[in-house]
Amino acid sequence: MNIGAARAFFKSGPFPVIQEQEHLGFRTPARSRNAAKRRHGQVPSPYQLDVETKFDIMGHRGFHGRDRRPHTRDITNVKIDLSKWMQTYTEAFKALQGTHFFRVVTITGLLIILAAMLMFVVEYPQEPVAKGVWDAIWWAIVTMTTVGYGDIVPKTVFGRIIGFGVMISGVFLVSMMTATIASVFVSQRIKEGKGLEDVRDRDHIVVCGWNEHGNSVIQGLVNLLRPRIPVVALVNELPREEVDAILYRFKDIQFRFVRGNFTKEEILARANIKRARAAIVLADASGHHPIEAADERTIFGALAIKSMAPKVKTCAELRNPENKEHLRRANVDEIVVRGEQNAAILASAAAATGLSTVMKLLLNVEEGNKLWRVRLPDRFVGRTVGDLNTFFRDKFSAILMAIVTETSAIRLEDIMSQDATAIDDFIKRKFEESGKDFFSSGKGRVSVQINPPFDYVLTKNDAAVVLGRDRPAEASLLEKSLDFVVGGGRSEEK
Amino acid sequence: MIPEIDFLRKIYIFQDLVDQELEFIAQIMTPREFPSGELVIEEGKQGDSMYVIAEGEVQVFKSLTMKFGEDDFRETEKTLITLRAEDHVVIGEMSLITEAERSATVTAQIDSTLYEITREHFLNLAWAKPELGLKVTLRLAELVSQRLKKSGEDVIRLTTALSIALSQ
Repeated sequence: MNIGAARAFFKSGPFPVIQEQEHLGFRTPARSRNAAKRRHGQVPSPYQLDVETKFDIMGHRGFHGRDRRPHTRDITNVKIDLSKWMQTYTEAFKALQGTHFFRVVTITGLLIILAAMLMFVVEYPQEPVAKGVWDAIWWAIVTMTTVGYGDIVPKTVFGRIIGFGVMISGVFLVSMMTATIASVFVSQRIKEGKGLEDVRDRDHIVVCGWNEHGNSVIQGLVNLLRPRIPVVALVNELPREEVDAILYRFKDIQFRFVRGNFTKEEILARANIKRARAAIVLADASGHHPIEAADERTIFGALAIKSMAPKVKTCAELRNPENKEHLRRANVDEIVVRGEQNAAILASAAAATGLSTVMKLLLNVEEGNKLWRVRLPDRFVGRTVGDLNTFFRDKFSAILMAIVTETSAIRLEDIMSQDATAIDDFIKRKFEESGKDFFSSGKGRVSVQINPPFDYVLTKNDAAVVLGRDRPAEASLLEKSLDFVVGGGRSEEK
Repeated sequence: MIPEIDFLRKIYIFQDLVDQELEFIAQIMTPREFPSGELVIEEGKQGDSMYVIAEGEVQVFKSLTMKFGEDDFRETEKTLITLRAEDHVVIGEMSLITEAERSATVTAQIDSTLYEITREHFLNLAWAKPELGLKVTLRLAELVSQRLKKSGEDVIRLTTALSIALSQ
């Protein structure tokens, strides 16, 4: 199920396939083919030549060809590091707001101005060492911060008394400032490690609960969402060492950790669930919860998530298929029962050699051929699956596996007529009076056609799922000048 | 008090009539005074006359839910529109062609004067002047078909709302 959860959590669709042009897949034969070539020194067969050539062409078209990857990755890493630093400072600044840091800063500022003015008034008539008010302020700052350059020095008795006061208060105030900043950083570290820090991110993924498949789920997320991996917030009751192990294992991911029981609303609120992109509820075995009772907690957790954030896509893992109904009532978007696919794989393994391996490879999220969900550009609307199939085969060496049709949810405005009538008012008022939310939690319907018939005409609600080595780059799909041959030599318009 | 021709011309169902025909219409109109708060027509009651507001202002109530025995939803589920003389609207125009129950309740909001045309008077005039009768009847038919279309859309909206409400 592990991969299932990762996969299903993805955008929408109750189908066991990927999302938004991310991958699942199996090892491409390319590597072994090359190896074979090297071993036997043979001339590549026409098929191989064909494939390799296409691969090159695609590389030039801005594909994420394998050979280009290291270069791309370097650049991305630098960016991530920079943004991490930026974030650390922004967070520290936010954390300082809760302390008396800014009060100390204000008092220091006021004292500097006051001391500078007094000093100027007292000194200037007798010993004009400070040439003006700015010099006096400069002196006050230098003295206050205990730097004491000595370029401007009070000479009169009164001036020195003022200087003494500034020195003493400077020692106190500056050390207070330093201490506050330091303590904020330290307490943040401690809180993070303990899972006491509140999550402030948006569009993050909340992973509730943990079990032995948790690492695979995270790995799946990494592989499917690369290169833009969102922040992942873990909500569970794992001991410190295990959390550290997860954090260490997935260094590419920015983790947030909230320690606590995810069935409780306040814990979910700390994970900022309302702003999350998606939530995964795993059958929880963390914090001495028996895995046998996991379904119960999954249901409570999913209910809590859906009541707090009805729009957040929620995917839940079940152990017992009988509990599906509860989750459906909770409006959970995706329900994955652990081991559900095992029966099919076992049966096919016995029935036909190789079939089970194909299934397993298709479900694999590691490197290699993967399933990708591709949004269709507008120009395919009104054309047939046959055309699309040819397009993917010729341009991306990808096989069209399925068509995903998403129909959007009904909104109250869709029912209303253009000119608000008495009946419109009535309907609107009645829905408001009922106090229930009939619309915002309403989900669009998602239907999947595996191996769609070639004469099916595509609509704007359709997306394609293809099996291919690389993600069919959206840029090339949208490229207007791309004139490809469809069917019997008909060329693409535009 | 005889209605002015210019005033009658602005009324929807009389818009096709020529001046001479409008004068015939004016002759069959009877001004009636309604003090503030008085019922002009009552929903559900039989009626055989149509009204045009000459002066003042009336309120139109229409109940949106059915009445079942003791449970009277009418108190709460009503629509309410205020009509004035400047709106040039007719009230109860369906009574000119058919003897049916009134579909709304109309009361005078302030002291008002309304012109009344009874079905008998109208039909007599229409038979005497078939051209006039046809023009007015065509406009009435147009009103009916517009209303039918609108109520058809209302039914679709209501059934959609009902299925949404019941699907959850």
